[in-house]
Amino acid sequence: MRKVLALIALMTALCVALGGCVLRGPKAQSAGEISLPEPSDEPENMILGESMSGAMSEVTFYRAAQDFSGFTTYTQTLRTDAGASLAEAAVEALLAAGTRATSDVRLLDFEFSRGTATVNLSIDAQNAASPQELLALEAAIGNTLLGIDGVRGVNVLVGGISAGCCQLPVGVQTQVTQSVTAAYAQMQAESERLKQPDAEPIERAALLYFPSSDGQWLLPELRAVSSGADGFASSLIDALKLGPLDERSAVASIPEGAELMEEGPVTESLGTGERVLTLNFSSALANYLAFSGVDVWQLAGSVTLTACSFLPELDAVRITVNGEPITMCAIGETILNFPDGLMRRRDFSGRVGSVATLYLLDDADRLSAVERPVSMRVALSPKSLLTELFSFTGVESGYRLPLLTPVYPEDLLGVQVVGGVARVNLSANFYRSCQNLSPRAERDLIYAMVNTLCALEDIRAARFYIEGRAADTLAGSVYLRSVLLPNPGLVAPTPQPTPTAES
Amino acid sequence: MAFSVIGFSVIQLMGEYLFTQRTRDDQRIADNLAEAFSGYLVAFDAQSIYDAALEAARAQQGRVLVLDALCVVQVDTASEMNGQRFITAEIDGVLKGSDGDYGFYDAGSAGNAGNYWLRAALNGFSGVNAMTGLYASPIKSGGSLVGVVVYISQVQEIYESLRDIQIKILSWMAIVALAVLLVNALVLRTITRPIGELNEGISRMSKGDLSARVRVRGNNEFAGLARAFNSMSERLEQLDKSRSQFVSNASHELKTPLSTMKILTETMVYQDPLDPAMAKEFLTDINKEIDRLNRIVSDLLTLVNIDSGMKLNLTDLDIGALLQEQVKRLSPLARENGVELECQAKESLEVRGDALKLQQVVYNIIDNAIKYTPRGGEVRCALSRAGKRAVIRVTDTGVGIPEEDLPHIFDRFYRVDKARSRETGGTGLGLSIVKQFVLLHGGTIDARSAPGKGSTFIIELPLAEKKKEG
Repeated sequence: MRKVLALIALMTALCVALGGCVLRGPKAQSAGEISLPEPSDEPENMILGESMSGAMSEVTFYRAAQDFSGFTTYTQTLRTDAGASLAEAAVEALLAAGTRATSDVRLLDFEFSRGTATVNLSIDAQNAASPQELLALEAAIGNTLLGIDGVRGVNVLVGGISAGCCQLPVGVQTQVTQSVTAAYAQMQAESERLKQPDAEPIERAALLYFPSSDGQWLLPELRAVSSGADGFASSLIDALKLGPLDERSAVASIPEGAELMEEGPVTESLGTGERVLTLNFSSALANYLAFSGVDVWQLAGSVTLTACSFLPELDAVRITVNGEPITMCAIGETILNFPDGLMRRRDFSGRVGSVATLYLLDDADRLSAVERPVSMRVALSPKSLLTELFSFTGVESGYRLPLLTPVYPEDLLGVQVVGGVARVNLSANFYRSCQNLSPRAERDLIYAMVNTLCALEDIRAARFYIEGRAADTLAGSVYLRSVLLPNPGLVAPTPQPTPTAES
Repeated sequence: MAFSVIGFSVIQLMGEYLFTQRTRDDQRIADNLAEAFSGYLVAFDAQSIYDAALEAARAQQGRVLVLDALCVVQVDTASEMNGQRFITAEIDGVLKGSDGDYGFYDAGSAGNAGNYWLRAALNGFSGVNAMTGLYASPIKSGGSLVGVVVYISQVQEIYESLRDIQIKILSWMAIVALAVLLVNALVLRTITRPIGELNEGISRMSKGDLSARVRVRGNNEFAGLARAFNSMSERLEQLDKSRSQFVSNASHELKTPLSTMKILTETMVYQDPLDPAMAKEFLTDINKEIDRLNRIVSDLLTLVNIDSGMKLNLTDLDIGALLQEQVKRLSPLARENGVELECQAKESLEVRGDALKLQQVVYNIIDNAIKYTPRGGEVRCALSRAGKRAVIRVTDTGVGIPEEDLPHIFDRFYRVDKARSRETGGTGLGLSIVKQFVLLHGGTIDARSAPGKGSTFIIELPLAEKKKEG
């Protein structure tokens, strides 16, 4: 019996041994000690201020054919310097190349906000031989800019007003125009059609300007509007009344309840030859404004920028309350005066702002994309954006950076953008503030900065230095001796604005 | 054992096939991703890398890491390891020039090993906490290494499938092994144990212990063998006893006449002067003892011949004539002893036999009957047919044989009345020889007797087969 038991034990052991061999399957690797590659030594690079060098981009330019049947294209490499956008540089280059129509035309002003560019050309553009030639110039600018990353719409003004075509607004160009001849013929046909009673409305893309949520800026929003019985004026006002589609960064400019008097928007030509749009509100406007928290300048700026950027050959807007024109308003301590109540686009063009995307921790400790109204300059400046970002340190709730110790603008010594990489030079104080961060907090802090910087068109990666020297990590986790690409997967999904029937 | 080897070989082959297939699939995915990411990584296009990596990872339920040349994770489909440095043997191999390398990791072991980021990478996608495969493929641009794609896939389901199969096979193997062992034990018990006992019995017998017997178990071949062995040993023991008895009896029978002759001879030697009459008488007695000695030796030789396989001179003979002839030969003795001898053998029956041996059989039986029948008695011989056998009955009205002696009357040197037997000149071997002759002819002999009433000896011999005419 012992022998039998011994045999059973032997066979069982053999089975288990064999089974064990097979169960192991392929040989599992062990995480042995393997040395990581070391970066080469770098010289000290004390970056101060803000600079952008060597940002070379290829741009495809459009030039209208002699018979306006189409466009010829050519490609040119452009260099953009700090503070200038590629789109602006492209317009400058296009005008500099010159054609019969653009030989004397200059770029007076360039606004770029929320993906739309507003190009304000000098009055010389009116010297074009024909409306078709001016349309060709506008289409060439539009086509060129739409080929640049981040540009979704182009609005061309001449001397601060919308030139229009065939007495119709051209609107914001959102698609490449293939043939000027065809586009002009369509404008003519639409103009004739609108003269007919009960004509089908036509549609244009317009920029509606709404007050920013912080009350500092007027933010453009691309919106489709249709022509009404009296043209586009009423449609623009109605669209403004609806308020912004994206309410995260902007608010409505015309408060609910504020209505125009019976005559509605009235467009008239003054003796000076200027065309003016008059909006006559009821006497309750002041109450509604006070109730909704909208300033007069916001209402005036919103209406003026919207109307003058779209309606053809409109020089000014006059807002009256029960027949009395508003002749002045205050923006903080700045007083704006409007002689004869005429508000022009240039009165408010300096208040056109933009939206910067900052990446901050939300209440659920997730990195979220937060849209913040800022000036157009700040929106294009990596250093300014990081400074904005730093204003969220030392905060325990709401949107914040995971740094309980506040850091200040002076802790950002400098930012240099080279070849799409933002080199960020941080102070020793910033470094010290990060020493007790957990791995997750360190990761969130670093990628808040990287993602914020990379939201800019010209920046695709970031590199960090401490007092001009390369450091391994801030708090022991994220390696800083290499460039860091943004981390899109770390960002919590952003709720999209709800589209309305108007849009 | 063979079953185990085959079973495990099949599992091993299945495992190798599944893992090789997975390795190829993962290699293809990683290589394709590396090729696609080359341009993106050089252009720092994280979004495009992330989107493509996420699509591949979701499609294959895996995880993709994109490392730069310094092993910094730039894209992680789980978005956990970005910015961390991560290296394994496979990544190290790629950094040193390999076109791709594959390894299997046990996430639990990685955790135990304290490699936090390896554990994080392996555990990064839900539901996986054991075996994972890791494939590293180089990202090259213009012939230079710019990064590494690490594709981590689940292989746990393969392990679990194999484990299920193995558990089943192991269970079956255990059951089969147990059954085989039980059968072996049973077989050992039924085969080796009887053989061992038989061996022990034979060993005892070889040492002279003829009383050795084995235990008979069951009713199989081994039980039959045990029974045969026991039968053989019993027979041997009986033969040994018979031989001892025979030697003892033979010695005794031989010694008796020799002793008689010695006494008579010594008497004559020391008789002085020798009386001629007495000498003649003594010599006559000595002569009788020599005759007796001669008969004993002659009978012993006959028995020895029988035991050695005596050959019969077979012929077809008329057993009735043979009976009448022997009755005729013994009629003078019967008359001398005052015994009436009759023979009824009218039927002519042929048997196939040795005439001399059958004559001796019939003669001895009738002679015994005459000698043991007192004067005035009768001895009747009869021949009859019983089926295919010829039956000879010799009935006397003699002293009869005690019941206890009947089973032994055919034994060698067995005498019912030893003194009377010697008086009648018997050797004690006659009936034994008779029985052996009858048995040699395929016949039987039986004795029935009642003391004081006489005895009947019945001899049955097979009739000769008649040849078919024509």
